[in-house]
Amino acid sequence: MTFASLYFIFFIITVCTLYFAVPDGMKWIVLLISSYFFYFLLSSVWTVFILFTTATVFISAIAIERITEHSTEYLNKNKELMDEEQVKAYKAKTKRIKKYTLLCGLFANLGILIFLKYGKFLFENINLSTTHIASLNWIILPVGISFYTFQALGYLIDVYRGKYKADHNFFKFSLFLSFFLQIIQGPISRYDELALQLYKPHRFYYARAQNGILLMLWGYFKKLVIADRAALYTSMVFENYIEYAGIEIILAAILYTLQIYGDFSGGIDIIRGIAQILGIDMALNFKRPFFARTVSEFWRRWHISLGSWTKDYIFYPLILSKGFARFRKQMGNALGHYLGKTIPVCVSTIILFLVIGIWHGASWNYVFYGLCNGGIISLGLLLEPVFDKVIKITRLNTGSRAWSVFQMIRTFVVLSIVRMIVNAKSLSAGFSMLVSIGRDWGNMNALKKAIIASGMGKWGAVVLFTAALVMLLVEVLQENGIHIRESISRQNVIVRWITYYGLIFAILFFMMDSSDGIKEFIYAQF
Amino acid sequence: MRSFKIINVFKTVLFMTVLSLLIEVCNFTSIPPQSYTRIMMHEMYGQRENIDVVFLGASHAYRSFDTRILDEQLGMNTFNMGSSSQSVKDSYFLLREMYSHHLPRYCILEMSWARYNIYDFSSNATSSYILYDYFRPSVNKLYYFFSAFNEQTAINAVLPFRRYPITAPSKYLENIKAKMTKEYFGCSYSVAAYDNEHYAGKGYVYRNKGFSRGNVGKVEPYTWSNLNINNEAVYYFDKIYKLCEENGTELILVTAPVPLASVAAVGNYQEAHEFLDSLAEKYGLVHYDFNLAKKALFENRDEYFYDSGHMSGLGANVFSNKVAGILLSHIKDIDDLNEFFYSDTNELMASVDYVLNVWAESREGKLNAYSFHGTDVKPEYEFLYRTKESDKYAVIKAYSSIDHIYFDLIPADAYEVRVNARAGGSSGAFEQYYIYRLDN
Amino acid sequence: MKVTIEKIYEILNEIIPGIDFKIETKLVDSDILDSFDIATLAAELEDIFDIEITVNDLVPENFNSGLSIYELVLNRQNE
Repeated sequence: MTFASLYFIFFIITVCTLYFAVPDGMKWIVLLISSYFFYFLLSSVWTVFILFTTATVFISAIAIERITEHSTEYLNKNKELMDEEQVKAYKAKTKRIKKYTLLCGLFANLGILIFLKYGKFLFENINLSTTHIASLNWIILPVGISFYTFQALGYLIDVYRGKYKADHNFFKFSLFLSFFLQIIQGPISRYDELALQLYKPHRFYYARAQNGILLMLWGYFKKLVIADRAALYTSMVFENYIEYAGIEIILAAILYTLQIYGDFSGGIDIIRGIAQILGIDMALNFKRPFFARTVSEFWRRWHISLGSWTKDYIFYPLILSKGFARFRKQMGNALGHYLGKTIPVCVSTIILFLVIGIWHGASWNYVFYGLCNGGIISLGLLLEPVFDKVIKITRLNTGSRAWSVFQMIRTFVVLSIVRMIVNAKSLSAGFSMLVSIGRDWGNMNALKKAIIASGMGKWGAVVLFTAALVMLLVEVLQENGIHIRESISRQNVIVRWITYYGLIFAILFFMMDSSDGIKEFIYAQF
Repeated sequence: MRSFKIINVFKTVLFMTVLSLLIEVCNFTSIPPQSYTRIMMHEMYGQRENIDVVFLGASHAYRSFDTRILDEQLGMNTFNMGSSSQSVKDSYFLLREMYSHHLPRYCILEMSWARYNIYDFSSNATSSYILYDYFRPSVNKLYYFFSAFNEQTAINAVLPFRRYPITAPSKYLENIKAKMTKEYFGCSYSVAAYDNEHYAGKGYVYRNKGFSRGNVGKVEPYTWSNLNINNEAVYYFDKIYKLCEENGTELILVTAPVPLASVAAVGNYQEAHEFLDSLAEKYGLVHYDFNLAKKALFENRDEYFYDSGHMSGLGANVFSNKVAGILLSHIKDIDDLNEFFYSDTNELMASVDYVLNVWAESREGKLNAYSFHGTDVKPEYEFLYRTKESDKYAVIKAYSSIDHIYFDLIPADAYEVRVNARAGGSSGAFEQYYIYRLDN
Repeated sequence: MKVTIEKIYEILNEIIPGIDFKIETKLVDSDILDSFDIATLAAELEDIFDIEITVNDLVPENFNSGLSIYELVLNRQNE
């Protein structure tokens, strides 16, 4: 059951109706049952994995909390009887036990994730024949495992760090991990942001529901009209890349970027829209990423929840770790103050993006994805003083509009190229596609033929172009601080209804369907 | 409790109502007026008299059972609910719909083998769309919706205008003009009348012309494989039987004929026939396979068909008369009707002492002739040609058992080559022929 | 070394030159300090003032102005 199907709409209507019909105390139960119903529909027996993660993390968090409570109690009772050394030793022991508990929880669940997701890849690349270990082809990835595992581990680490108390209600906690709106493609939520909202009963507000539906419609528009249509062309070119060159490949790269953005952010908008109807605020995952002026800014606007999660649970801990402090000192002594500061940050960045890369999947393409992003940002960090000097010398006006636009285009082009290589059938395919851009330039006839061959045709291309333009217009307005849905709700009823009907019929007329293929959400595979 | 303002409910209902109206407008302007099923369903709902005999099946049904003739011969109200590519599942739901309004005493299920095998297009939902569009709202329609459509195909069932993407605004105007007429609203037959065929009444479509004698040419019938059984079709066959039984309707299986050349071309037609027989045997039903009809009952003539699988109006006329005869005899339980049919395909083909069809294809510098014929027939071929200016054909190679001719033997100014075929030992000018255009 | 507000400004100016840290109060919220800057800054603060900063401390409230950074370091030094 994909979001873009009639049956999903039925499901949502049922869940929302039930939610608002039952008494307050039972509302979260409706969400829990719906979530597991949905999950079981998608994963059947593999549901056992999310149950395992829920149970182990739930228990570990409570264990850690108990250890802390017990030790505080003990110290309070026996503070007078112990000297400083003993107190220190006791505290250290407590810390160790907590750490081991945390590590157990982490490794158990990370271990499963790594085995299921990367087992085959690792075995193949270490040249172990999988036939000896009973071919690993039976391994299926349970739905959303990358998302819920990270979400669970974030919670566990936060409890360890004392950010908030552990959840003592197993069923409520199960809801936090399995919530059906986030299970397919995130966002990866934080416990202190999402859990309370889930458990708290919400009332039905008509205006809020209207807003939510409008957001859903926008999401469907991006996914069904833009992304799935672009996919006609991109899948054809990426599949048979050898037959295409020059401008055909450039279009494929651009359309692929459009496709993945429409697909992912469209899906997220649908989710956030539904959540809004239910009165729940889900974390923003996209903030008009193509207005980013640098690659690092891009990652603050694209898949925000993943970037934020890795920042808090990988990047910062690395930087603040003792190991890195020592590394910093060594670098500082060897290479001077600036490099000594910056190189550890760069190394951390590369590790961070490697994780982000392979989080997407088990292939060298994703490793490349991570290394590229990490590498570009690190290079930027290292060369910052150089850039500053160049800017000073050339008296470049970095505040000007033109410069901003240049930066946006530059970032867009660089990342589109990286994305194109990553999405190709293999790294070598990706590079060969890159090289073929230089060959057979500007052959518009071939391009026209390709567009027709893909099934999109001239008319489809017009629709795609117009829809993308509409999306661009909306985002430009948003970037300039205008809240579209708010301003719509302030208009009179005629304007509002025309907007609603316009959006609805744009979707109904131009959405891709089974004959051309509603595509499964791209991020559902992660 | 909740912020349940009546005004909001009213606003929502109004919004949805306007939305439905707008969708109906889109449907009206996008969907072309021509449709057989629209008129057929309208007629079925509108029948004042009870429908006594219903025919179900695909194009083999709606082009073959002439309800006017059957009405007259049987003295009952017959109705032909055949439709394009109708699957057995579609037939089941049509039958259910029929039962909400009529109580047929007999249900004739057309059995052409293509309905029970799986092909590439088998998952195409078009056959269901064109029927579902014209079902009146009912529980049965809802049941049909969930049975016939899956996640991917459901949307186009709910929004029919999506199936007719319009690329030119003039098309919209055309549709509107054609539909804003008395004839369209009255479901008059004239809306579904074309140059080469027309809706003749109560579901039957009359095709004007068939093959001219001897000009069957290449046939491309649906293939058959016992390994490719469409289990869903069998499932719904069982359901149709049970539904008939519950309602006291007798289920009779009939296979409408196709050109004998098609029967031969299938190759393993006997397997298909045995499979269809097995369905009949399952419930003790009768199966009249007119492909195996003896000449005394039905002569399988070229003019009775217009392509590999469908009957012309003339053929349907003859066939309907014969079917009426068989049905009457069956109903009155007179005659052992088996004597009118061959016992198997071998017997059928052995009885054919002529060539059924001929065609030609170019291969390796030769023009090769191919034909289907009776088992014991040794076909002979004659090759002729004509120039563009002339009407007359001149012989290149006289009749012989050789089935090919080298292209270099064909005169350079030849415009068409004609291949004549006949059974070896016969003396007619030809039994079948084929025209091969040389700019192929 | 004991923390002073001037030293904080000095460190900040080294990381991001050209900003008047005396008046800015939304360093994180308006993206003047991004996560790389915060990471570099936190590491520097740890080294120079011999304190321990945890990930929990790396929240916008603590880094939105020179003053809040100074207070953070002061608190850590007094533990």
